[in-house]
Amino acid sequence: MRGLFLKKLCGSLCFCGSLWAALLMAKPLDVSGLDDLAVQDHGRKKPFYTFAVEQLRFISGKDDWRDADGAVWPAENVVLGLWLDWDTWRDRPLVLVDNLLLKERLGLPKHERYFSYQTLRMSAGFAPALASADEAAGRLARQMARVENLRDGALRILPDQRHAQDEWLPMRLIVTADYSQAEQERIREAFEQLVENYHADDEAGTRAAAWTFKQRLRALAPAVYPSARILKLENLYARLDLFGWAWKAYLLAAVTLMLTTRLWRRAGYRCGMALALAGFACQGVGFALRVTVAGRAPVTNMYETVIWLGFAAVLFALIFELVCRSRYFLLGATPVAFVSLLLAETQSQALDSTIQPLAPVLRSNFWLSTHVLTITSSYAAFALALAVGHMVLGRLLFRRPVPPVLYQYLYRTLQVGVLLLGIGTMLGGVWANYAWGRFWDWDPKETWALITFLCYLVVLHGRIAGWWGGVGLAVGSVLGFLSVLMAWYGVNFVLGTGLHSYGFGAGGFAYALGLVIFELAVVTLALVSHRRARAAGQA
Amino acid sequence: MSERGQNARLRRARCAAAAEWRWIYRLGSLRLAMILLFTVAAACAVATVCESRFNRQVAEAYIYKNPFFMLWLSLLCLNLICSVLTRWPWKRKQLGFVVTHSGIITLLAGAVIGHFFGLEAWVNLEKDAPPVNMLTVSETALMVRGFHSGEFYQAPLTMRARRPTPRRPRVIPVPESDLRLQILAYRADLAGIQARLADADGATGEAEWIAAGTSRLLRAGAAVVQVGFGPRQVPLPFSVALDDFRVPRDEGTDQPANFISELTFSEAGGVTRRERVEMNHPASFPGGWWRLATGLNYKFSQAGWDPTDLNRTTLQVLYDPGWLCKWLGSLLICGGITLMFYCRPRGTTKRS
Repeated sequence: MRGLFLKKLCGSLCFCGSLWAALLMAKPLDVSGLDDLAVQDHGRKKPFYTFAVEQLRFISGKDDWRDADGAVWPAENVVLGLWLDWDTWRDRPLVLVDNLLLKERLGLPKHERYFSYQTLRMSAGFAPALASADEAAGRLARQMARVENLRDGALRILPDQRHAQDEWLPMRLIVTADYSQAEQERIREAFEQLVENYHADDEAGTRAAAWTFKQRLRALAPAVYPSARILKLENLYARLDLFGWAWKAYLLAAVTLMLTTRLWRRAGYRCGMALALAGFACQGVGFALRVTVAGRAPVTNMYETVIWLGFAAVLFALIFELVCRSRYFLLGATPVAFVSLLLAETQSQALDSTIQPLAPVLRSNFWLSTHVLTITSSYAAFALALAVGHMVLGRLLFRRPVPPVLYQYLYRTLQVGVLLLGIGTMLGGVWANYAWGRFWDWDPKETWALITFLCYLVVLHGRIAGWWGGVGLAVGSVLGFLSVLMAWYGVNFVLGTGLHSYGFGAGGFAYALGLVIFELAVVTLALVSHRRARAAGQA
Repeated sequence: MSERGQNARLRRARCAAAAEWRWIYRLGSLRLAMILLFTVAAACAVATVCESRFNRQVAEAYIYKNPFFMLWLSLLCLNLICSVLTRWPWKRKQLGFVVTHSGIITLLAGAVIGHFFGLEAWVNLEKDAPPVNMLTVSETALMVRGFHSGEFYQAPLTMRARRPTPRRPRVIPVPESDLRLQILAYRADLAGIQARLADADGATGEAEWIAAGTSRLLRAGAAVVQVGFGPRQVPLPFSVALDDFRVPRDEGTDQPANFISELTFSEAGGVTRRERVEMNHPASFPGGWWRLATGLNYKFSQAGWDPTDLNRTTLQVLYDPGWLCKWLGSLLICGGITLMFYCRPRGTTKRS
């Protein structure tokens, strides 16, 4: 009894101690009052929260910053800190440097990844490294420039009163703005109040001052200023992180379905279906928010198409499940959706998640939502076929019997993909005829869409000719997806030529190559295993 | 008898009856189709890599515009026609097959019509300049001044297939005379040619380099001929002038958000019409819905601009009489695939 009490006492003492320590630690000031301050950046107006997250993501590759004591600083605090409290923040390790060679040239410890602005600036090899044409050095130079920009308070928050399209000004250039003396005074006063409260660590004061500041900025140019609703929606989109919830739900669904193939089949199926539906709903709402904020179909860059692929794959699987009630479609689609969403979340260098103005040729919601959506949906159907193909090949590899219905499902998904790819490519031709003045001109993206189409035609015609059966379809769906990968990723990231230049990017090559090698290995091993099993059966 | 057996018997009977049927069956075979599909896909893949490693011209010279590739595509077209013929008489369940395959044939026919009778060209327009009625084509041509009349003659001179060498020069007769022009060399970096003049006796003058867009006087004995080299020009049946060109930007940046050209078209009869060209919004002249559907008009789309001079714009001009076949073919293909996959009569979908 006594021992138990002592234990409890120790426990509560420890708890109090840690609480005290937490209180003593520098705690980030709550600056969420500035969340929906409009900032003009990269050709559009966005809320301060989104701006801050984008900046921090660029500088340190993360959405928030963790100090040595383990306290988490939201992006807004970091950006405000760099702006209003430069002397403290320039010494905090914010800038991500991953490249080992670059660290060596700069004379920095190799095991560390984050460095402060000041450390980098003062490092021995900084000036010569940045003068070189090295890619990693170029990236570091851009990161450093962003930090310097924030120091100079480069947030363009002062609206232009005359034209919606004109440049906004940062606070430090307020004297050059066309505001009246009284307006200038009001803005300056509110801003100074905000800064004062921020430095005094006064949370309530900061919130009140932020509110006044925002109201006065809006009053300067009510016609030009973005509506509070759209700013709030964008914050909601960023804060909810619905795509993050979606991949978790898909992962759980996939695991549930996989574990219940033998035991608790019915319950497992229902549970998996419910989880997949939950993930689908999250993703759907996320898309709806993104479409509302950006005002266009959500398939304008690699990030968006990767996410759309997962969404459409689950959509097709749900429709098929509605008709067939077999778990295979969901079992195939949920891992696809999980991987695509996870890639989109983690590969932020290759897949840029920021909402940016489009290249002029893409500014047609009609063509975006017909041609691009159809094409990316066909990729999703092919990804689903890839997953079902893997089920077949996996069974061959481990010498398990393949349910014949699986071949039929494979054929069905391939049909959807071929039909959508056909329609999408033709629509692309018609769009090109309008936008570029020709129907077809062997642009690499067009050509690879054609190659993909031909590859799947070979797969389907070979089956009609009787050259191969279900196993051939499975192999074809896996190899065919490699051509999809080339058309989708390879043209933009590896070949990098042609008219579809608005989608170009860099990065992720190792992943793509890894996938290609993995798929080729799976196909080879499965075929060898299948052949041996047949030979053994005949003997 | 099974359907497959019936088909085989019909095939044997036809092949025995006529050599034409034998050829149709041979050319329309699925084996040939597979080979063609596979080789076309492989060639295209090689071409895209070529384009990335070298440049567009290499890919065009060796694959996209190579006569062998064209031959291969024609063979594919022939294969499609024959495969549709071998199914004669067509049954209801073959509707999807026939529609899809005839769609591809129609589309390819549209491409051929567009290639031979259509025109893809550019026009550079300048604000407040006189109306233009000449287009520039991406091919090069030789301009030779007639020996007596003094008029310019234009002869297409492409360097795509085989480049001339001093040993195997390309020979072009000079109009209105018995002189001949010998093209000795072509240099892509200068975009120029080396040429000399030869008279009827075979005596040649000095070889001269003619850069693209310039002309030179070539001599052979007493004869002098003015020869120019440059992009080929094509006349327009009407004229077009640029009234205004605007480039709206994304807010707060220099990034173009759109390109807007205001054009005035005028025909010989005094008919004028004002049109606006924007991204994704071409202007067509002459107007009329049937011309839009058939492609029997000139379509002007935004193609290029000069950031330092906003008084100039470059438009792509397309005249494509194959347009009707192209979009009809596309429609047939998509409809046919849908029919094949989802609208087969009951009892015929099941395959083991």
